[in-house]
Amino acid sequence: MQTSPIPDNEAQRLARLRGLGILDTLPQKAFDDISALAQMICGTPVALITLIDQDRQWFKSRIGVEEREAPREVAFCSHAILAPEQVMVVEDLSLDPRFSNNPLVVGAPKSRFYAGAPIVTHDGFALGTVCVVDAKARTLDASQIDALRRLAGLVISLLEHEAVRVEEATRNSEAWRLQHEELTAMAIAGLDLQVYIDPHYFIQHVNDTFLAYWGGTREDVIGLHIAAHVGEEAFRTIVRPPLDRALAGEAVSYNRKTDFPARGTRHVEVALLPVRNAQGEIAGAVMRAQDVQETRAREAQLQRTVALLEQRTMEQERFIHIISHDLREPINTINNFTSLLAVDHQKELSPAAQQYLSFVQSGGQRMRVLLDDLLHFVGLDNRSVQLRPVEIGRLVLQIESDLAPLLARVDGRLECNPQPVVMADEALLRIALKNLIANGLKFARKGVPAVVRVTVNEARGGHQIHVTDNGIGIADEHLHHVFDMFKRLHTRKHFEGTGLGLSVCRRIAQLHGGSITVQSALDEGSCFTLHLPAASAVLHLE
Amino acid sequence: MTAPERFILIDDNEADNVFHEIMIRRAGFTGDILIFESGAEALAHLKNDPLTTPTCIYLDINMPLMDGFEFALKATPLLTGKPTVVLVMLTSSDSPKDRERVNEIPIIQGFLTKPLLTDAIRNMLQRD
Repeated sequence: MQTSPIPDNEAQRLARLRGLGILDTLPQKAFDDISALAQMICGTPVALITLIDQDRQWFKSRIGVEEREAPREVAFCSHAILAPEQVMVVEDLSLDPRFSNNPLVVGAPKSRFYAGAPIVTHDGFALGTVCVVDAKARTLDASQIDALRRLAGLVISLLEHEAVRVEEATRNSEAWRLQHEELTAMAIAGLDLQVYIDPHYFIQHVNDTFLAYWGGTREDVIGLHIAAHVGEEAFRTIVRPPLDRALAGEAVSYNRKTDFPARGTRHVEVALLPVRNAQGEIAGAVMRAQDVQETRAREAQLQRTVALLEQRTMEQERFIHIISHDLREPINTINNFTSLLAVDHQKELSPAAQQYLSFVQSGGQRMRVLLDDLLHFVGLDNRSVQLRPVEIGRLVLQIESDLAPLLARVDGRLECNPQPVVMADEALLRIALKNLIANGLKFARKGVPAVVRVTVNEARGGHQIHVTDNGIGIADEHLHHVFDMFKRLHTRKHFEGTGLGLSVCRRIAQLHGGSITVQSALDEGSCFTLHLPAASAVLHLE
Repeated sequence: MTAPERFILIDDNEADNVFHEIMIRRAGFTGDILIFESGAEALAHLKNDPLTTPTCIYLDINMPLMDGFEFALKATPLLTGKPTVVLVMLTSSDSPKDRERVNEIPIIQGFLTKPLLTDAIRNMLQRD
């Protein structure tokens, strides 16, 4: 007997066969139908679908044979698969040298006839056969042989489709398993307390955070009725009403303070979400509680801080009010009566007393100016800018009248040709211009009558207001900090002032969305420029 | 417009009243000067005054209990139809808020920042 010839591509063939995952599977109707067809077409007592494994032939479907498999070395099909393109027909096995000594021929079941059509994969591997066997020697006609070939083709189609389907299913189940693992990991690892409750109020799942807050282990908690977990009273009054709404399909959320056995009283935000199964029926509810204790504490802290700030702001406004009224009144009184003393009673005073009085007088006057500037400055922040068309010529005339005493004292002159109308907050612009003009008059050169000129030009939709003087000028090294608060470049003896005026001007320019710049030459004069942008820029700023 | 033949000073600050009286005299005025240290007292007086004498009232804004604006509102019925009576507000701070309120009360005809000086009083005396 020639035993079990091995195909050249055996290793790959076996890999291919095992890759299909068909070996040792349960009987399937489609394959049994194929073997039944083979039996009927060929009129044999035996019809098989065989697959040739390493040491055996395994029957995917069998008619007329009890065994599920047989040793490979006695299998007729081992020979059939050597020629994948042909149906092997052996009309009398006992006369064929390959099989005459075969135990299946010599002994039971004394097989005499065999025909097998190889089952060949699309890439050429013969895995087994669809075969028919008879105890009598016989023949098959061409149509029967062709039918066997076609049935073998059907088997490979089924096997390959089945393999693809199995592979997909496996891939899907793998993906599902991964997703499930990720979801489980998320649920377990999250900082929120999570519990899955079934429609009968039994706890089905809890995460680690839940256990960390409530204490106990999964074994203690899972399978417990919620009422047993939180107590009858709490269940009835607190948990059940929203839970019932969630179990009726509604997403519910609420805040409450809960006393957790392992964490104490915490403020939590609770969300109850209905869970539906594939059919859309409610399968339970997930309760998720987020610990917002710290957030709440911070919110409360923030609210206290805001309240404190509001109070401070009110106190500050009150303080400004006190300065503006209560402090100014006594300063006025001092100034009023020192000037009366100086004018009416000068001659009654000793020379020393006269000098002291003049110190008191100038101190009082300085105090008043300082108070004015200070009030302007702190008042700026509490003011909203109201833009209206302002005629610069008219404004300068008003300022000229305000500054009449100063103009007289320095023998100065204020020039202002008819000027365009600018969009500005008139009250603020008046303060700024008055400061700039007064500066121009005050910082005059000795022996040169002060002339201050106000001019306006349009620039990029806005305006530039220039205040030019013929005074002492500012040295380059001082130019960059003339706008700083309380910055004085001169002693009080030479030039009066508080050092606030230009800070106020700069603040006013900023409130208009603009800026202030200065150009100066020593012993020639200075030119301060207020840059007021187009009105839209200011509105945008506000 | 008639030059005032009488001044009424309403100010809770005694020193201001003294000073303003001195300034009025110094401006050359020799007629009556009535001084009240609260709006209520002044109001009580005005109710019994026929207000036929041309009068200038200098009214302080910042006073306790009844401030200058409240006084002006309460005095409005009394002063309406009395063209020879002039009401001028005096303030120690020229706050924009005060200026706005002055514009809202029509009976108020003037707004001066303290101290009240002889120039302003002479202007008042030269009205005709």
